[in-house]
Amino acid sequence: MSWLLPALVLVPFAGALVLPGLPDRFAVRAGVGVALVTLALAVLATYETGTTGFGRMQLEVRTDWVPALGLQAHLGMDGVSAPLVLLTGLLSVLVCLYLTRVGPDRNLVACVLAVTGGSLATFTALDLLLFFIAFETVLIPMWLVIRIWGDTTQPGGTATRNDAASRFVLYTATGSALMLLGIILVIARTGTSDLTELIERGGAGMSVTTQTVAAGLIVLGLAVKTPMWPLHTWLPPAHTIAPTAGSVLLAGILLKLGTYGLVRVAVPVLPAGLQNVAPWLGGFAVVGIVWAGLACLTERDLKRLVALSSVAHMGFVLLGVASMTPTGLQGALYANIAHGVVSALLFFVVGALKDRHHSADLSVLGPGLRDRLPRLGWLLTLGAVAGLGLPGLAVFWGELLAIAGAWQSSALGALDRPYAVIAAVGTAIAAAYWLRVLRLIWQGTPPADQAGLPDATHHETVVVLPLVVATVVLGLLPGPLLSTTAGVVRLLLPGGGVVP
Amino acid sequence: MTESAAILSIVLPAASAMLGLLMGRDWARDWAVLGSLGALVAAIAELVLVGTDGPVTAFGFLGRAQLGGTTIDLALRSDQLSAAVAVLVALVAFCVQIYSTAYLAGEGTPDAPTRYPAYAATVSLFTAAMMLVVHSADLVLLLIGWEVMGLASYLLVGHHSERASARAAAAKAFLVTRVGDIGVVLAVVVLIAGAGTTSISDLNRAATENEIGHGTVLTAGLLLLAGVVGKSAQFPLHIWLPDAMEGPTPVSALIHAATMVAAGVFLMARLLPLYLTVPGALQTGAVLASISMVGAALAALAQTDLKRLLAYSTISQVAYMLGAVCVASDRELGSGDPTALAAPGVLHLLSHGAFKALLFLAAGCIVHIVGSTALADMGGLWRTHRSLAVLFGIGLLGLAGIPPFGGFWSKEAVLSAADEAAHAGTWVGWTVLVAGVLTIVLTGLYAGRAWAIVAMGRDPVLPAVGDAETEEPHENPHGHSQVPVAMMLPLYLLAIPTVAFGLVLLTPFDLLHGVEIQPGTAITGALLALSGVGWAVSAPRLGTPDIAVALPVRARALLENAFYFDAVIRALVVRPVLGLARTVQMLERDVVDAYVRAVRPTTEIAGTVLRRTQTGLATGYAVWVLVGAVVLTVAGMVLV
Repeated sequence: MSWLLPALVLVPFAGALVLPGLPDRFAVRAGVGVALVTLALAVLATYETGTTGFGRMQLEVRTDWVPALGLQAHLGMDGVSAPLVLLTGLLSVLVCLYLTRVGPDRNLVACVLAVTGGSLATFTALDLLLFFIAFETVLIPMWLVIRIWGDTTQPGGTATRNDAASRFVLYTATGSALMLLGIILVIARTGTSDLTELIERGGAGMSVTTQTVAAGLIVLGLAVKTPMWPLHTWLPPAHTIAPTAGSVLLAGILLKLGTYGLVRVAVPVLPAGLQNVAPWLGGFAVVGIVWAGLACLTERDLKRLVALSSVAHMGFVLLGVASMTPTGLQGALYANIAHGVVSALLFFVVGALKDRHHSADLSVLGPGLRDRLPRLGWLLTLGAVAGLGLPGLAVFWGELLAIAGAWQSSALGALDRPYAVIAAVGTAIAAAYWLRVLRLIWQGTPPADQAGLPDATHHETVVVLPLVVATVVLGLLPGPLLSTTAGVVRLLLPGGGVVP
Repeated sequence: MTESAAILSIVLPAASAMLGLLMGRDWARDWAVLGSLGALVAAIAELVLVGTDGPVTAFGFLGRAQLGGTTIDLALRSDQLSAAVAVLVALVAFCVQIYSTAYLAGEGTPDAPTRYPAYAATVSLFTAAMMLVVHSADLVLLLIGWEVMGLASYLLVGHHSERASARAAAAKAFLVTRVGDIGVVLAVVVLIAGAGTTSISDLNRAATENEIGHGTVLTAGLLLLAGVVGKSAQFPLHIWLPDAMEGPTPVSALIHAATMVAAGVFLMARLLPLYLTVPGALQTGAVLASISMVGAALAALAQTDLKRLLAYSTISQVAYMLGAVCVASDRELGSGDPTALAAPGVLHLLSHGAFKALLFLAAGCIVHIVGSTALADMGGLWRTHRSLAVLFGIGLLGLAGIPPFGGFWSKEAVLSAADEAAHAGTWVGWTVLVAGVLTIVLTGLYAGRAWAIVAMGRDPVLPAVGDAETEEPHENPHGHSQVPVAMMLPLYLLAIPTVAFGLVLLTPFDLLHGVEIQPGTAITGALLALSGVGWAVSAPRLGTPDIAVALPVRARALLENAFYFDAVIRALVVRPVLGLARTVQMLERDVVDAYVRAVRPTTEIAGTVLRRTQTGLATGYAVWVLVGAVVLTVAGMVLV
């Protein structure tokens, strides 16, 4: 099965190259086909990995690519990457499907496929340089999506759009530069860029100072992408401007690259270094949870609000990583997937609302959605209660485990329990701002002038249905996803992650 | 068999919620009633099976969650406690579903739609969630049901969301309980870290055998107590319950009187063996219960709204249950089974569920007739609607604890337990006992007052049409003279357990073996309750049906506003948080984002500076090379 992972990465890239040459209507359908093939490959790869065990690296392929740099095309899959690969495949299908009816454009579909391919390459790369290159590949198509198909109706028109796009690129590129420095430092000190080997060494061969500097640089670079407070200010404008397809990709897939990098590279390769950085990382994480929650309490624009709530959710992911415990890491990975599903659902729904009202302002969208547009209203409510971490829906498990990880973390030192308590308080703030949204736009008496807008079409319902199902299933049956990560996180943590 | 019955009691209402929503208005009513009937049959079957086959400690439900070194087994259990509470929940839910078919019949007006399908589905969802809480063998699984109940409560309180007061009350109900639930989440976290398990039976066993550190148990116990206080609307988190009366009346009967608010007490009873090892947590609970008991009864005395009166009465009665559980550590462990110590509390939970649901549903009928919830609009029910008045009266007698009605037996059991603890010489027992006796008089007073105003008064004043904005607008503001059969039947059904509850004690099943009623306490209690009722009922002879008029105006205002505790919370919590939010918004814009915006001018300046350095002179470049070399050397030395 050694062809599986290269095919998984190359199929969407090939689609992205071919599609711009086809006529629009055909190209968009072909895009769905390519995405479906990718999803099928992802399912097959996950199945193959699962049958032999998620605890070890599976389906490995390795060829020299640029021997002069020591760069290898080395791919593999384990319990950390498999759920993310599946999520990427699923979201790519849904976005392509969404684009068949709403604003079909072959170039946009090509960009979507390019982002998919780049993300899949990042999630399966087992070479530090390859990881970096794949990570960067995603940047350009995403920039195009915001720059070309972005919303120009915001105050400031095209200037605002261009500002959001360039802010996205400059911010993430700066982060990437820092990360590259860290990666080069690691490669220079250890003489290898092979991730499996580096993980096996677990930081051996590097002094604690080197590890700390490298971990600082890499964490800083990845934290921009995650994003971590206070490096998050590129996210709200990017989400506000990006078209629905772009927002879904951005929240559902791109934000996961940063946290995946932390789990895949920073934790196992530089354990001693991350141990020193962890209290800071955890601190920024919990400040982000509370800060973003409070900012959401006064936010007027629903798209910005969902973006800010992403900062809070990613705060839980970062807290789980910073705890450096098996429970925390599992929580981080669970929260990652849950956020991908729930934020994608929310951006689809908010996008549909914005298409109808030509604005995402809370005072324009509401009040009275439950009576005016009942189906969209209930979908929004589901997204909101999932977003506030209601037990029984996907987001809850990630938050609970991240808090549990922080509580018993030795990496966070004396700050472990304070961080856990602050994060738990953050869940109540999340409830406050989501209930505010529901109160302003879902409840209330509908105004007379908004009558007659169409409710969710069958097409829109079909697109979000898998996400609805995933939100509920992940919330009620956490067993399968947790068992894929249970074994592998022990291998990633120093000393098997045994809590003293 | 027991397992299937327990699982069915959860799955049937959940399925009927889904089907009711998906299949549309025509089928919503059938699914709702069928689902709750199915749950009732399953729960009764479970109670019978548990009695014959014995309890089942754990059986799988939602699989296992493996995290770190801990495995969370999302399993169910079934014993007499869960089966008995399940029967109560299913019975009230069934009554409420039948009642609602008439209460929310039709489409309503465009200004005030009834939204029946969503309503019925949410009630079914609530039933399923409560059943999950009752049957959970694991704290995390219990938390899932616990919060889904909260969601259903939020949706139903805000059901008439065209009213601003309903919107505010819904958000308040969810947020206040959510604040308490921070405690539950943290308790789970503490137990995962400190005990390595969240299974209820394992926790109880490990705590009793001292396998878990005392600090862990105490922390977890106090944190769980925060959740209990929030969910059961006890001081200081009780503020959401009176406002929650904005919900449709049958919902108040089911969620905010009979079942959900009692879930906190249920949780304490479930974990009583664990709590017995940390008396500090129980003492805290007993103090909070005593404050809630007396404070809420005093507030009920001066309410001018029938539903708010009943809500304060609920806070006070749930406090009885909590108090009964919390004196457990000071009582003698008779049969050796610690759960028997929770029996008085559970007994009151069951009897209160029946008579309070009856009272709320009867209140709904009265509101249906009068078209308003204000006490001032009511009166003369005895003459106009005799059978309804009798049913309402049975509920009030149960509430006041007049023998032989349900509330008498359970309330005297609670007082006997407190008495036993007090005689063991502890201040906790005395606190609960004094508060309990005081509350008996107060309960008699406000129950009598409600009767005097609603049933005895002479001239019911019809409400003005202009009041429709603040009252339930789907009601005809002029009221109805007839109560539909579907609304009366559930009252008869609930009157049976209220009247005949004492029979349960003739042949108590194992769960209630710990119940003892001391004749002395019982007679004193009954006489005090009777005197309270008599005093209030005699008020009309003095010229006014409302005995609260006898209070000084200031005291009345203080009680009616429940000691202005709401305003205190608003000043201490709500305003600071909103202020903080505004500050954050400002900082987000002007500080955190400022360094990003500063990049452009900085880059321009840097560009200008760099242009100057590119002079073409070799010496200039040489300096830069030197600087670079120094930086690299320093960096290299640091990193080695």
